[in-house]
Amino acid sequence: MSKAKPCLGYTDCKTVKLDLDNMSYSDVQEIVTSTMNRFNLKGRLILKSSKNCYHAVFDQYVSWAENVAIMSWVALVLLRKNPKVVKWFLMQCIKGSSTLRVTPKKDKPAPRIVAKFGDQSHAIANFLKERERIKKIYNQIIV
Amino acid sequence: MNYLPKYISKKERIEEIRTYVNQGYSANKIQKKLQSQGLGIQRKRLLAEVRRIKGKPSRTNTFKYTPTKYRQKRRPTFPRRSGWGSWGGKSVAVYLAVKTRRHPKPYNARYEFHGSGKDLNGAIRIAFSGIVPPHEQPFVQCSARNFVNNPYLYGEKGVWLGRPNVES
Repeated sequence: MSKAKPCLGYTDCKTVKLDLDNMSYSDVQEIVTSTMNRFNLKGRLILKSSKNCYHAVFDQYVSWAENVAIMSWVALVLLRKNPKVVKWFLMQCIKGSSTLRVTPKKDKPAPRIVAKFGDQSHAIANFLKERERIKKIYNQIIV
Repeated sequence: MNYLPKYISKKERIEEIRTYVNQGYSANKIQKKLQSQGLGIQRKRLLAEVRRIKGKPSRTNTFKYTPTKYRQKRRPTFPRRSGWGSWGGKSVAVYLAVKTRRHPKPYNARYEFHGSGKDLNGAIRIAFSGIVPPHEQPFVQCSARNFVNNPYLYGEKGVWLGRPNVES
């Protein structure tokens, strides 16, 4: 077995996900709320991945084209001066699907839920279910 | 004296091959007959033509029909992604910087597995045990079951490094 463990993440095309780095929680809330209202995404879930780094997941399923439109609006219009978010957005476009980390990464712990708002029954419920599944597999392997 | 080569139509050559095939000649014998008439043809094409005349399917599995001593000389080929967003469903990403014996310089690599929980569990276990995507194809999207059945088709032995320089 190699010493370092790779990270595990959840990937799909239809769920709107955002990786918001280098910003405070109030900024994250503002951005996530404005995105949800603008694109009618019904519900939101915010996770804290590390200090000043947050993940956001929205409840409405969308096509990959719509997903890219939403991510680009956030990364290139709202946060164009944040190179980490722009880099993350470009990486997702190159891959053709968006990914959020689920397991710990070296010195960073696994992302934990800090806020929920609105409908949680569709994409968010699926995301949480898959997150639990990935965590379970990871824990089995590590132990 | 005419130094220009004799023009041979494709139809003429095929007619010749057809007559020899009907007589039951082997490919080598047909080739010798054709060469004596100045109608020589590449062996690969001749075999394909003979198969077509006999109504047999063309052999697609070239690896199976390659002698074992030549098989090892083949360069390793890794499956390519079928296209952008080729897998539209949900999957599990396994990613970090890696290094292999062939490429000691670290590079970013990523697996994206899709499939049932059991297959995912097996695939992630195998990836964790030190199978990493090759440098030629550092981003591999594949079915977890296919990966479990044949991990060396999708990767090679290597080390996952703790260097957190990969964007999720």
